Amino acid sequence: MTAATDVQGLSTGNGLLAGYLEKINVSRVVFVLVMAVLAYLMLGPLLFLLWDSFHPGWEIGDETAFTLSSYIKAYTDKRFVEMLVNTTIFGLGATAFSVGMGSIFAWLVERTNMPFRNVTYALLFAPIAIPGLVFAISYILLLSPDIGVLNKILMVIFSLEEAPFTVYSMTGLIFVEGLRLTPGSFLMMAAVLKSMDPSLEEAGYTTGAGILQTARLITAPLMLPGILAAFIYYFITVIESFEIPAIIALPMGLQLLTTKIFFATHTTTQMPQYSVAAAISVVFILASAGLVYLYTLSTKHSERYTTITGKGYRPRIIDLGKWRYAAVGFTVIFFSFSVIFPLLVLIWGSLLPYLQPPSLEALEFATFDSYLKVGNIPKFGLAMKNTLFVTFTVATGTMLLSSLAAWFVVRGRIRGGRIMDLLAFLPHAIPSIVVAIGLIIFYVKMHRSLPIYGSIWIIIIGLLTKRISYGSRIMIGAMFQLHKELEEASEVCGVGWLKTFFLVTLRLLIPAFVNGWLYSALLSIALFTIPVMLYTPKSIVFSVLIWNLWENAKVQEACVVGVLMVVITFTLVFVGQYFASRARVQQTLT
Amino acid sequence: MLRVSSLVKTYDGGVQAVRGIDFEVAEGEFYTLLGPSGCGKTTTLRCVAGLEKPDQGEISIGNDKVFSSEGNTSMPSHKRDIGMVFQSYAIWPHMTVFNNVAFPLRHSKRKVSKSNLRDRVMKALSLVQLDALADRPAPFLSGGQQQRVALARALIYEPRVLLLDEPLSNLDAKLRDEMRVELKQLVNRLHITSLYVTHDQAEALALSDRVAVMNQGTIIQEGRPREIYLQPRDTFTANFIGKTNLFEGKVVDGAQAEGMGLVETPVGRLICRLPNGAQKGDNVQIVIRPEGVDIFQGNPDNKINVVEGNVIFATFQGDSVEYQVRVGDYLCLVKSDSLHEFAKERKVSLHFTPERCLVIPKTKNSVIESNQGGLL
Repeated sequence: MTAATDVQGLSTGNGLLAGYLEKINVSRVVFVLVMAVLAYLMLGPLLFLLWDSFHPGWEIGDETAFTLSSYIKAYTDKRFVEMLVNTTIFGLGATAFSVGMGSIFAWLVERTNMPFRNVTYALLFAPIAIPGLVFAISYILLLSPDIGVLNKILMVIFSLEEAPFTVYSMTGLIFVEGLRLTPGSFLMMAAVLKSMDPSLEEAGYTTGAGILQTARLITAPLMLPGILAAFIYYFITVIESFEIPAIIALPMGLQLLTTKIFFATHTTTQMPQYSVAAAISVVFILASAGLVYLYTLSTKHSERYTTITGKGYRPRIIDLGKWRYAAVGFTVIFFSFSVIFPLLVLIWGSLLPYLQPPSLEALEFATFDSYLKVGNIPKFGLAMKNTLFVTFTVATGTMLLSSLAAWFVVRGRIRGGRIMDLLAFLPHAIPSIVVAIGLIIFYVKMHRSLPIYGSIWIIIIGLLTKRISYGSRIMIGAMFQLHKELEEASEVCGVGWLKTFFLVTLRLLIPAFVNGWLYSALLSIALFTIPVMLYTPKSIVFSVLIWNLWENAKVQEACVVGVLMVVITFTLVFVGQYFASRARVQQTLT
Repeated sequence: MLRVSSLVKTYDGGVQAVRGIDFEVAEGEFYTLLGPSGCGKTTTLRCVAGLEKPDQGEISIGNDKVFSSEGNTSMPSHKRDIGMVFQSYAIWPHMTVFNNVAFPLRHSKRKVSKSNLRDRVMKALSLVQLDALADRPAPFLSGGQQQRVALARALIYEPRVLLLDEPLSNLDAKLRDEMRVELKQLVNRLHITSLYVTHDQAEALALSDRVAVMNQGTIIQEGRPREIYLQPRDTFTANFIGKTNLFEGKVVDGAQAEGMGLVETPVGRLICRLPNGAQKGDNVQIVIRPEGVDIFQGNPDNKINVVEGNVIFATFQGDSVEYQVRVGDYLCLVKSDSLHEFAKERKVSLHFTPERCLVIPKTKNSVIESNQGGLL
């Protein structure tokens, strides 16, 4: 540090401090900060979880010596095998249902002349906005053998003695979970279909193969890697999901991996057994990490198979003939079950003091009073305030951290960029309920130096941890699209790194940032697993409030809050769609 | 103004992009790094800009040592006081033309008053004849206009050195020629020190005060455009800059009057310009530009440096005709006035102007490339 730095010192001439600040490489400092935050968020809970599974104990210092007792307790449970079998059946069943349905709709929308395809495309997004918890509750209101509205209606129509369906069964669980995940798998399968060069299929037709033969011999094998990837992805999603099982599987005593962990920490008869939950979690993580690895392998593989062609082609549209109307009918039935019935029953339930099937007499009881008196629901105001705070903080924090991390991963050329990439992706392989257990153990042990256990911040940290894998993927993808010379031009003309990052990089990535922000916000409201594991009465949020109301048989209040939540999430989705379409318009202009 | 010494840059993965180069650009000089893609010219420019960090060497701008591997100094880009025009122009699409050009004054340490800012931006825009488009959003500009905005943005704060990274390569041919002239006039008028990178030899020759020809991470030859074209010091330079006839030969008779000598070549004995110190018996190469060869019919008065051949191919190019003429086992490239054209298969005579027959020492790895005459 000789001539050059001296000259800089002279040119600014603001004394010692300025001279010192001049020498700091801002981007390095930010890199170290981001890395530290990520490592703290991701590794803290994970390492403490692992430690606690071998050394049970409440606080640092009072842990036992190395022991396998937690593992023995967890895995010699007489219902352990039953739990694994249930989880596998649930996982396979719901995955098969949603990927199957998703594929059918993807094919109908992308490759056939079914009427109203554009409407179908738009409507398929809708269920994404219904939080899983609310969705599950609405299905109990529809298909419970005791109070299910749909059951009651069917009993009247067909003069049945007993309810024809019950949601409290493995089939019911699979149906509801599968239904909820269909929109996502539809989008995934539509992308697979879109990326396939239709000339390969056309070549099949020209050689004389029929529609079915071509589908079986050409389309299906070419799509196989894509289907496999979707299957693995949704299998992970299903087995780690807790929203639907919490409402449907818990009351019927069905043992799943998630409910088992929940039970280990929420028993009325004994102290929470965090180390047992940790022991189950460790194996859960390994299994899900293995599946994530398989997933990345299968997506890597699919790039070799599929031909990504530009906009210059139009796929061959298959004429369905009179089956077109059958396809529309099928779509309408699907929407009835995935959106219309659940929302209607939720609204209906929110208007009545106690649930009954729709009829003229029942209509007389219906009032909007419940909405006017919503403030009387205990803790409603607090939950509202907390939800807004959590949503805003998590979405903003996630996207800022993701944007910075994405810059270092894509542009940084700093040793450690790869590690940052892995750190940010890691939570993808960790089920939400495991993140929650890890956080509990971590912050209970740390409560003397870092008293955030029991506050709203632990919920924020939990959601942030889980959201970063998604946020960073979005921002990394967008960052790759941005020509690096746009940033270099700013630095070369005298603007420092941090200013360039905000004035040029982030400014140009606003569409991706807003998109990611809205999606993170949506999930922060909708996700229930992490808040329910980490909340205390003063850190209650909407999803937990609904859960509490439901547990206490306050059906009407649960429905009211559920409807309000759906209004918020739908608004977020619409705003997101609006921004996405505006960004597309802008892109075509440039 | 700009001094680069012993610069070395190796990329991750072991690719040695720059292998120890030295050059100096005087104040107000237009200096060009010319070479094929992958020769290290852009890497060198990016090292000067501070966008790449060299492994070794020293870079000074004015009196500042902006990089020194020995002194462990590396000044970040934004403190180097340089201007740069990128190959992609890098015009920020979320701003108007005005805001693009005003950006360096607004957001760097060289802040100016508001009224002053407007004056300076408009002055910079009128310099590139874009003052009428100041409020237009950047995406609504043509390639040539974006190019001008990039130039205005780099010039507005009067940087010590202007760096240009293939700025004309994304323009179509006609616009490129126009911009070339405009750029030359602008740079001459402003008398700004410029470092220019290109793979286009015509651009380099037309614009530069001095040119450095680069290949495989080193500077092969440095000089004024005339020298580079007329006196290439090795076959790479000869081949890269323009079309060339290249013969192997042996000095038969050392220097005669005014540095001329007799060389035995496959097309016959030629009187050539010999380099200093060329001895009888040396193995050499002879470089002759196609326009240094006269083509005619019939017997000349003077038989010196005249050989006979057959026209194999003639290409009419408007301002000239280019021939491939077979002389023995060799194919000679000849360029002549387009007024007259010799038909294919015609027997012709070629006269190699002695002053334009350049002898260069034989190098070990002289690669024979496609744009030259040579063995059939």
